[in-house]
Amino acid sequence: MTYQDDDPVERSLARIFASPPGLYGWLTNVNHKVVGLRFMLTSLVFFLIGGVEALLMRMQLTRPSAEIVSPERFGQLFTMHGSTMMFLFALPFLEGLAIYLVPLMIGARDMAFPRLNAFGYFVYLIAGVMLHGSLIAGQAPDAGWYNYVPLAGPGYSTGPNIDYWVTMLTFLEVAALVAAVELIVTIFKQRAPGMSLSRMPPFVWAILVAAFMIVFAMPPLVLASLLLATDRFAGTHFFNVAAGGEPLLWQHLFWFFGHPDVYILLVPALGIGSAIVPVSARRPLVAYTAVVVSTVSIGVISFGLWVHHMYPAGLPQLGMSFFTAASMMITVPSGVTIFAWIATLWRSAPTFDAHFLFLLGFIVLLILGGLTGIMLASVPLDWQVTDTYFVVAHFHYVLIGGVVFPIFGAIHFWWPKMTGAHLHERLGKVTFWLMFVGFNLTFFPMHLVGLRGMARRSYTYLPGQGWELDNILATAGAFVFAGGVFALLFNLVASRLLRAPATPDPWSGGTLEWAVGSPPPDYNFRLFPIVRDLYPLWGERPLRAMELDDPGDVRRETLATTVLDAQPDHRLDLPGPSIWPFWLAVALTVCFLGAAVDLLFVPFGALLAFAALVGWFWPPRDGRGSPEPVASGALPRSVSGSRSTVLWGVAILIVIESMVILSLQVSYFYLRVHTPTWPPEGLGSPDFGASTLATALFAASVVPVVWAERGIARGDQRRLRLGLVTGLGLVVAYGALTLLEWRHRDYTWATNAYASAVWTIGGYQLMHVGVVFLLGSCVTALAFTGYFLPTRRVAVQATALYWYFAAASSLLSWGTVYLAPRLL
Amino acid sequence: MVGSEPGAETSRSSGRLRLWIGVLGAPFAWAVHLLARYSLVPVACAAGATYLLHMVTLACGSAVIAVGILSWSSLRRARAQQIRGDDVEAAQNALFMARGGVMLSGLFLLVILAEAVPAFIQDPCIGEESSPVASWIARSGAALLQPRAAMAGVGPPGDLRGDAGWSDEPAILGPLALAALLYLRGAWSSMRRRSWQAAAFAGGLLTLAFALLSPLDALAGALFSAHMTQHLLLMTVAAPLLALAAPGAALSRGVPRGLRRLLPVRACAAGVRRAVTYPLTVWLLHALVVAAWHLPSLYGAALRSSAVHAVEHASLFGASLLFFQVLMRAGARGGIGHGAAVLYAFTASLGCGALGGLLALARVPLYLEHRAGAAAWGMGPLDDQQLAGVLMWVPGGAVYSGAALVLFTAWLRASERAARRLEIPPAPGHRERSPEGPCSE
Repeated sequence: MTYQDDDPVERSLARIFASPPGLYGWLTNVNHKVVGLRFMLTSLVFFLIGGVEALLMRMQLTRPSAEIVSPERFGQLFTMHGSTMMFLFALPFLEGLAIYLVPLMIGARDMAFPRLNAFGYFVYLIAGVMLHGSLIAGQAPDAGWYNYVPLAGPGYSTGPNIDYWVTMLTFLEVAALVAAVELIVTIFKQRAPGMSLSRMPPFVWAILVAAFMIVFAMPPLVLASLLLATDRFAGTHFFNVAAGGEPLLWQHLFWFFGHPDVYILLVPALGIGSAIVPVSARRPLVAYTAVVVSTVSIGVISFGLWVHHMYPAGLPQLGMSFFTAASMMITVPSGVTIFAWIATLWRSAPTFDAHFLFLLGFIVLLILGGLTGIMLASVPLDWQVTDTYFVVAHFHYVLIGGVVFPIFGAIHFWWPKMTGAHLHERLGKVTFWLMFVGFNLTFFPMHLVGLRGMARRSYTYLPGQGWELDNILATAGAFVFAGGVFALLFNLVASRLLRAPATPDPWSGGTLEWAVGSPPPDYNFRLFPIVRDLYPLWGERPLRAMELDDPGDVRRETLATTVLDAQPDHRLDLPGPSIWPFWLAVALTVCFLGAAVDLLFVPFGALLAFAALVGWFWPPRDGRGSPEPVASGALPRSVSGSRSTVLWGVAILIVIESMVILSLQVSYFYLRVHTPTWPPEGLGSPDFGASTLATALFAASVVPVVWAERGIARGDQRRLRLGLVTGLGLVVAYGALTLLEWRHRDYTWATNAYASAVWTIGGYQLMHVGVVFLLGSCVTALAFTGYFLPTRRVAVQATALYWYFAAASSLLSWGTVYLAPRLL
Repeated sequence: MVGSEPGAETSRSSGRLRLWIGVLGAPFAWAVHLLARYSLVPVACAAGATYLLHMVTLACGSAVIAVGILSWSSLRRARAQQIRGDDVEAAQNALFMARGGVMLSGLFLLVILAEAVPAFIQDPCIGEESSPVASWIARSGAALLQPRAAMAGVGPPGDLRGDAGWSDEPAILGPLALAALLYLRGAWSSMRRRSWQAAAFAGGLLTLAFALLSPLDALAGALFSAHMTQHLLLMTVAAPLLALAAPGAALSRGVPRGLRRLLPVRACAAGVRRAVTYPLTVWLLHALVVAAWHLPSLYGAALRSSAVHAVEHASLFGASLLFFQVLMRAGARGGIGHGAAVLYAFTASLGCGALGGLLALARVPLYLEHRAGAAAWGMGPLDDQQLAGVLMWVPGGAVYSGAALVLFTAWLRASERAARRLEIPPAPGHRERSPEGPCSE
């Protein structure tokens, strides 16, 4: 968006938002466009690696009894292929796309927590590199991408292979959760003035739904990987039948994430479709409300379906018919979306650009995958074809058709916006046809060979079973498909060299990302556009816009608006480049990877992480000594309570943590309802009296904190200090009493599964207490410097919020471990 | 839309309703057909009345035909609207939906017929008696439908069979009748205007009566799954219906004027009421009450003592009434926001899944009180427990998920209304200016 060339504000913005140069600058850059592009490009590299792994497998399976790779290598290959594609390609690419596009689509200059963005990327990069390092070292994970125990447990996978997988998974969970928090807060709090929820582009809705799904689905997986890690590193028995554990617990936790995960990928893909269809049809999307509601329904329903991945695991028979019915329900909202697209395209004259072709391919292949999905949702058929190539064909139709094709469509659609250079159109079409033909050639025969009984994951097969032709076709198709991917790569590189310049709005789109230049300037928007409908650029011109910057005092800030109707609310300070996100990622690596070597690395890494966090949040030196008085009528710079993005971030973090804690409690009860006597024979009941006293102390610590928080709201420094110190004292007393109680336990976490659960719940609780203590101490220290004012107290509020949550969770843990066994 | 008369608005919204019924009606009828036929097989076979199955087909088939006719009439109306040329976009939408409705009705009529044909060729009753769960459904279905005298040959003997017939317990009948009376008296004048609220109130009271007075209550003493059904009726059917009816004003108007002054409601500290109805408190209370009554010791206590049992039912029903009231007040003054309400309902459905899932997947029978009852009904104790768990998990969770989606739709609407009301905010102290040509090249 160019205004006047000699606009001094624009020049200041360009200077203030500029990306820092050099390698050090690379490590400190926090701009959402840079981070988003890094996510996308890195994930494409992993896509290529995962593709090569797939080609190796296909070569091995072309002919019966081939010996191109060894059985061990084959196990590593299919594990790495699945893990790479699910965790290192699909999810990160869509995260990157969202991080890049969402601020542009909603008219913001950057996301709410830019440093968190950069941190998420480093964590992801380290995880990916580490995982593939293990492949080079010949010790790649080999228990399948869902890593079932007991095969993946310490008893049957003795090498370091699975350790890499667990660590990698934990890291990717962190990266995904960080991105989800970031996206939710940005979408709720930073939309352009007038962009009420009902005027948000469907793509942004899709990202919001996917982010919420990550918030609710990822924590059980976090817990699962933590439990597996403690089983492997610390000798607990969560999944060990011999000591009262339950291997099926892993499957439940994994698929509680795994099923929504399919939709975490599919929902943004549907969002891509809803962005491309109106542009290609040159008319607004039909039934916007129905599309948005069905996006949300997909999210909601997908949480009730995980059991259908476990039909053969021996579940109550009656339940299965319920799950079959629920599984079929999900076809309704997906159908509504597709019908809305068809209705939009009906009697329009779409131009068959490459991105539109990919979209059509998406629709066709997704429907085919959906049809086999309906077949698999019925229990008898599922039992018949489980673990055959029929299933392989089904989920590749869903995932390649439903995720890879729309991703390629998105690349063709938004590449000119991101780089300012067009892709070669005809080569794009060639890419599509190579991929479409190659894909069907590869995976359609797999349906047939699966129905004829060929099992997945076996490294070879014997001749004479009628499988030869299908396998030859599949391998040939895989190479055709690879040719398509290669064509895209060539196209991307060529576009950088040829530089066919792109206009800001090459496809005549209607949403805000097309209002800025291609590529967009570092600060995205000089003025904040005022939005009145879904397609601001298709409405009356010129676009009306709001001025935020004060010409005499331009800062790195953006506009924050209200949640429901996007009214201007305050100026949001955007933190600049920082090295600390990188160091925090390194500290976490020490913590987690060290755990595989020696448990002592855990506290050491935690200490490093704490140091990095202190550096991260250290108040900047330049200015802000005291917040400036707010001129009447101007938007304020500092706000408190639910208007503050920081508090939103903390609240979502608390939701995530609550989900982890609840999953832990449910796992405890899951073990309990599989064991006739509880606590198991020989173990005494836990000490009720001491724990009750300790928990009461922690609960009581909330009172002085509330008192302190209310005090600083009125500017009472004394109340703030006194309240915080009293609260901290009570927390320390809680910690001491808990440790005392633990000393008297006559069993360790390695005794049996019950003991593992009790110790883990206690340890996790104590970790929260530690966090509260550290946070509280930092805030108290700041309080004694007189830093907090009634207008500057978000840090106090955030700490207090976390404090209340930790107190509530200690009550819950106490109820589970100490109270429930007396009532059960 | 803006500036249209209220009458036009109403007819448009009724037209939209018609269109949506046209699109969704046929698939819905098909789903009902499938589920009803499956679940009726045991009952029909036990009673030797396979004609019941054909009647289901007849009913659902006619419903689909009716929906098809409705869509056809919408189609003609939309064509006329298109020819008249007012609001072309809406007319095209209507045309699309009406065409879809006609085609879907045809398709689903065929599917329903295809599902019905096999019953003519093959006897649906073969192998029915083998499954204990099927026999449970059959017997309890028969128990609910038939008077006490006819029950002689069905079900187990003695006090475990739960065939006590309809009860006339005055402690339940009395309050229900009183509530109905007060409501009638208080809402008589506005009944026509608020007919759906009155219908919801009636539905809520009838569900309460069915759950607490029908033979289901006695059956609940024998079978855990029947008890779960009873609780689900109280919590996920009666409570939302009564919250939807919002009968508070009508009820207090129904109290005779002289007595109204004696009502302690207003005097009773408003602070207490606020604390109890504070949304987060309600959410926690709801979760706590549901979780606590599933602890085997508390559950057993309720089965052993009728007083504890009354407390159990009252607290479950009360907590969920409060919960749905919080949801009902979403977006209103002093209520929670719609977004928070969506989150509340969704987390409640996750809770149903967690608790129901634990019960369904447990490999240890937890509620020993039901062991004899289940055995008398030919079920293992685990069968009974699993059935109860799945009931809570899927249908129970579905109610909360559905509430979340309804609230979400309301959120979208509220957001558009708010944005229209505040069109173009001239931010205080900020000048607006137009960039010259946002895409100036």
